[in-house]
Amino acid sequence: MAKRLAWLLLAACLILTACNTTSTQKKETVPQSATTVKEQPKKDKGKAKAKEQEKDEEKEQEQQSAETGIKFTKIHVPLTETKKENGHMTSRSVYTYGQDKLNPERVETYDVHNELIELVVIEKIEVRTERKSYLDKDNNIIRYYVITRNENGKIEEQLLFNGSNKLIAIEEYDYDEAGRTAEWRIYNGSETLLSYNVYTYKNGRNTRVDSYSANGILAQYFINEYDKNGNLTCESAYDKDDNLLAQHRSTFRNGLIYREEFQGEDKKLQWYINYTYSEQYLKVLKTTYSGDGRELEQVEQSCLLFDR
Amino acid sequence: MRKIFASALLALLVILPLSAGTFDQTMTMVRIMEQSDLEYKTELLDNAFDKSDRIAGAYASEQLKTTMNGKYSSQSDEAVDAFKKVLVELLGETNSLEDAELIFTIFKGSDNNQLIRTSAEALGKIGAVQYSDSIIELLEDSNSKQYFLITQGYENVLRENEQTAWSCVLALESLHIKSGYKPLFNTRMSEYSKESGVQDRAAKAMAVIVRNPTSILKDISDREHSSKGRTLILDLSRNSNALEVQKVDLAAYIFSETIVNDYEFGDYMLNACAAIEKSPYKVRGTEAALKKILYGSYSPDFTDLAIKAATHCQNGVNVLSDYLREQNNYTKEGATKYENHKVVLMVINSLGKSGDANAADQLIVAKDAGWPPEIKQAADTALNNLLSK
Repeated sequence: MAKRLAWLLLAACLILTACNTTSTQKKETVPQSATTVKEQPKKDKGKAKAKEQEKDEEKEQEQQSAETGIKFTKIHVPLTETKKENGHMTSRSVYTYGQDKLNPERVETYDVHNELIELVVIEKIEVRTERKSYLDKDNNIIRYYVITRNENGKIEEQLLFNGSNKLIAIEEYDYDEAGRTAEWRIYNGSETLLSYNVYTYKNGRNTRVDSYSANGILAQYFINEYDKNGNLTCESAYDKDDNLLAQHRSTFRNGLIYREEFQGEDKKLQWYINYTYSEQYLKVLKTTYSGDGRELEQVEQSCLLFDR
Repeated sequence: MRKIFASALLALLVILPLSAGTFDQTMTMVRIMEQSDLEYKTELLDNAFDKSDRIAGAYASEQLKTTMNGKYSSQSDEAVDAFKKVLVELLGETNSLEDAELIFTIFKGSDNNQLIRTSAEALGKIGAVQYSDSIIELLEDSNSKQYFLITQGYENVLRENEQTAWSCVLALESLHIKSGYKPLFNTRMSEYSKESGVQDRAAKAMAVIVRNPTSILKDISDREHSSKGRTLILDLSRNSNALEVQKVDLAAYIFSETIVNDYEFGDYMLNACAAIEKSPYKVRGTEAALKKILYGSYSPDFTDLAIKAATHCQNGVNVLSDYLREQNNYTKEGATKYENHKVVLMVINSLGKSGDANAADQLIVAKDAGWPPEIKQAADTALNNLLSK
């Protein structure tokens, strides 16, 4: 126990040192191009395709949303999660929440024999900084994040370390005046910029994301589509030459998600997820299938409901 | 960081920060991996994605194919193996059956033990039953090697062998196949160190894959009349959560039939007593077992538990009454052994709680027999308890 405490203290010191060095060094490594590119007008690539899909999507939405007049306005907060694979229970996770009752402080995952196999712990290490650690069954840290939030509680910076305290990646977020994500930047462990994504909003919704390589050249872009209720129903990834790379579609009914699909660049369905809910919506059953219909896993969550 | 579909799920589940990360960010990470060197690819796949992330899984699937086709042949074997290990782990977690053949190729063809173990576990998770024979073969091989390695004192090789056995046990447990039962049984009986946890896990794996506990327990009983056989039966009884009535019943029965002075199995005995107590038939063998316990020299905790368990069935109460009658007679003759006093005290206390009016006779006798004051007092209290019911 004492040995572990000493180790944790040492790890905390290392993290604090890492935080101080990265926040000073990183700012120097952000190339000017990142900000310059931000001001460039967004390319219109893929708009025609998006329009076509929009029409199909709307049609589909109208068919599928057998609205009952009641819109689900609650938030599901999971308490336990049971996972089954090949028809057999493989793990069970238990969520423990902090004072806000919304953000878990601890997630314990047990195997079929009720033995702990993974532990995720989120702990505050400074006023606006927290550490999220993933531990194995022997309490060894596998990896951890040091997350710094702004005054509105949104993630400003996220550092990822492996189990040997080596910095693997750094993420930075910028927000616009309305508090929406404006830019996301990712660096490697040597704090060299790898890529940055710029978010565009239309009618209050994030409709497009442009992803640039470190030298400011557009590498990928993403088109987001919404149904009339504001649910994000389709996310499409394109390369710089407008080739579809992947698509993630979601179906909502009465404000609740019922199905997700993922297609690869060959437009072939790779997997899909069906959601079912108990009568009081306290249980969510999420079944994932491969593209050819083979059941991959089933996750049942027991939840509490909170007002949005 | 990169839980797939997080953006869509955010509308549904507020579990931040566990599922921070969106579709565009996940896809960007995949692009970064494509452009990175092998070492950084490995680092990112190993750390930056949730193990069940299917976008990372799809990337891993594609990468495994190209890696097996020699894409990284100019890189060091260690770097390629480390990459393969991460890929195989991800494919196991994402249940990628279409990659089972490639994973099996690694399992059979690699000379890196860690990679072999990861592949075995992944094949199990995927449910690739078609390769179970090879996993069984590897486990049986480890079982046979273990004894030899202990006698030769090859410490490092021994640990490696135990880790291999552990992975095979996990794989067979995931595969849920009946043919896994025998090799797991043999593993449970092999000479693995306690720290490795292999034997314990093998017993648990058996409890998971056993579909017809009665027949398997009978099988064990027929094959193993030794203390090892009893250990295994009681393992199963303990790991079953005592929910399967037949299993518990049979374990209790076999236990009561075979109980001997096995001090090293004290823990299992306690579990068996608990099993006897839960048995709906109050087990035929309880009577015989109880007599052995009362007259044996078992630990006070165990004896106490057995006596308490006995009061749940009429046969058990009769045995306790008979025991007290016998001890009362010895006392009257001045022949009671001091060592029996504790057991007598336990019996009196339990009879008081049994609710059986017939037990009152011997409690009345005990009050007036030549017992020490504390036993007389206990008999008086027990009698009052009994009469008040």
